[in-house]
Amino acid sequence: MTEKRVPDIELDCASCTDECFLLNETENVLGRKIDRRDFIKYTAIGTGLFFLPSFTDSEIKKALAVNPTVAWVNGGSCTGCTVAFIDYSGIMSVLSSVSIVYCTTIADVKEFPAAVDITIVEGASASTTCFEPEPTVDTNFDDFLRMVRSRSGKVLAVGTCASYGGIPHLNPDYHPVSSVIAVDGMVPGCPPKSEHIINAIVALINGTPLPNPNVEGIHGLYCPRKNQNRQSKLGVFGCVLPCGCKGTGTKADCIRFNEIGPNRDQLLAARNSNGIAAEGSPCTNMGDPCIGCFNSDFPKLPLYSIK
Amino acid sequence: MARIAPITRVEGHAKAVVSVDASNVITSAELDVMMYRGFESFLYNTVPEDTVRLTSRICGVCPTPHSLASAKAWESSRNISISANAERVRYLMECANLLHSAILHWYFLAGPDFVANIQALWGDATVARQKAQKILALLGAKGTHSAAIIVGGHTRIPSAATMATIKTYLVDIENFINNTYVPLVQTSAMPTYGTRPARFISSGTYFAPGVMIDGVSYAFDPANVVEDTHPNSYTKKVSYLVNGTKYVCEAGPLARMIVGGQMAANTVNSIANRNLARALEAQKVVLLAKNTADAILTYEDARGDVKAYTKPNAASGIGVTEAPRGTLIHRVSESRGYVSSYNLTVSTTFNSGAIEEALIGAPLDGAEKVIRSFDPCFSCSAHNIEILVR
Repeated sequence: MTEKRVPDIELDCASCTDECFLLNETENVLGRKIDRRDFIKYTAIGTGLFFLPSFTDSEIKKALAVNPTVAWVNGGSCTGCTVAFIDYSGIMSVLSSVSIVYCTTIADVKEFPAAVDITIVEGASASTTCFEPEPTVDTNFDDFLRMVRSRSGKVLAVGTCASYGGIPHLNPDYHPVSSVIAVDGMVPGCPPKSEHIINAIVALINGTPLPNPNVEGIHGLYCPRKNQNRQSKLGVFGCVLPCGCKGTGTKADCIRFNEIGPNRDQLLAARNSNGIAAEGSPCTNMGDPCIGCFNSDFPKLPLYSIK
Repeated sequence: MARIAPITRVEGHAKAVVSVDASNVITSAELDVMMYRGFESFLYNTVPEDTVRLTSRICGVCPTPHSLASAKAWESSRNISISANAERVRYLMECANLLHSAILHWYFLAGPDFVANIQALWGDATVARQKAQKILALLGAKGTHSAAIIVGGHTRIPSAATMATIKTYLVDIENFINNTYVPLVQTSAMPTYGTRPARFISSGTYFAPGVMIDGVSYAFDPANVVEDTHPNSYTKKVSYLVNGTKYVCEAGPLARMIVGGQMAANTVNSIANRNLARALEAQKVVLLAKNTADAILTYEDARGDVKAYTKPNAASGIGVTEAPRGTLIHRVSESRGYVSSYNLTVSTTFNSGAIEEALIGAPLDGAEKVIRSFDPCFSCSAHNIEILVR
């Protein structure tokens, strides 16, 4: 499974005649006038770069048939990524082939195993606060991570806190996992989509390279409120960019993958004549500004700008 | 002396240091909560509206009550009364969060102690729990860390089609709770230790609010909730002040059920009854959720229901709600558009003192069962005492 996947994206830019904020932004960044065709080209290249690979159910089953041992380690975290993991609709078949050998949230194991295939790290790391990962070990999370790295085949940073520091990083004691140990992949998001986590695990097993998520994003293209009138107050239907929306600069495909609510195709198919999509992800579709929770600079304060 | 570390099948990081007598019965206990992140410190000088999103990241299992308490706190500081319909949408989200949390607790955290091979039952439980998360996703874009809850109301009121979907989910969850979850809890043999003085606190939300101390009822007043440092731990010790005396009160499903008159006042606060109360409460909350879902007025044009407000120069407010694990209080102050103080009193800071009391008299090998019966959330409870910055 090393085939490179370029997601099929439907761009209606060619037929769209509305004023396009994204096009203007791209021109600002490039410093020259571009036409729509160039714009579509750039964004298509962008998507190929940053989208996580997606696997079909049978591919997932095939990869997990090696019965990998998985350890789940929580640092300065909220457990939201664990909840996102078990929110995956096929979680029961995943749990039947994967053995969870360490996870203080759902497994009753008190000592980190001597060897693990994949370790998933949730939460930011710190060297200052005490942490007791094993009955007799009183250490800090940085040192624990170094021990985890030496016992793990692959290490995957899950969630924005583990990938970039996230909200705990507002406390300067906390830092990303990759600043302490080498990681084999990052799955940002607060929380990440369930499929992101599963797909990243499968990619690690298959040896599929995980993309660097830290490239320019095009969330705005998928926003169901794209090209709607801009509103400077919340609660009114329209584009919420003036309220502090960070969607246009967010490096995420949080709408394309969505197990827990309707996904992009369902949302876009269900748009009525006024351009109103059914309820569900992303946050902008619910009228709330995107807070950029997949970004390396999350949380970029202030999240809201309300007059 | 014995150390239980790390405490497993709970949310967050903690250890317990206990003393035992010759027959391995716990005689004293100290709960140590770790991985302090310091929300109160870094919320200082943020924009008030942002704290609704930021505080939800305190806990990934009960993010909705944190968002709600934060929004309510700023609404009280700015004298905003949100519309009844937005209130209903919020309430439905809170109910959905409680249902997901209750099922998660029994099937993944507490249940494995009492039900052999509970993993075989995870399939149905997961489907039901995910439906509760889907309700949150439909009302607030995401299951965990939902958006759409903002100061002043809700950014998008659901359409009739979405409410119809939510109602079918609620019926499925109700069937699971009534036919599978509650019977399983009722037929599971659970220990009757883990008791402590009968002192309970509840701010209401689902049932009547109140405080019950040794059989005497008092009205719930957040002004009487006082905080102390917890020796050797990052958590706080919260107690309720009555006539100058501090009482450690248990919060959570059993407290809500007893204080709210849903269970007999003399119900023993054992492991068995705490877990049973959580199941019976879920059974009642799903009915409340169904009634709320019926009452929501749907909008088809993707409008929200947000009250306009003016930002005061300086004001303070309080937001109180019931998280699945117990009473949650956010106390806030703002000055010139920025947060000047933010103090969190979370469910498990109420329960940290109660857990230590309940551990006394329990056998050493049952200590974690006692702790799990409270469904503690240690990532919520890692806090410090408010430091006033002038």
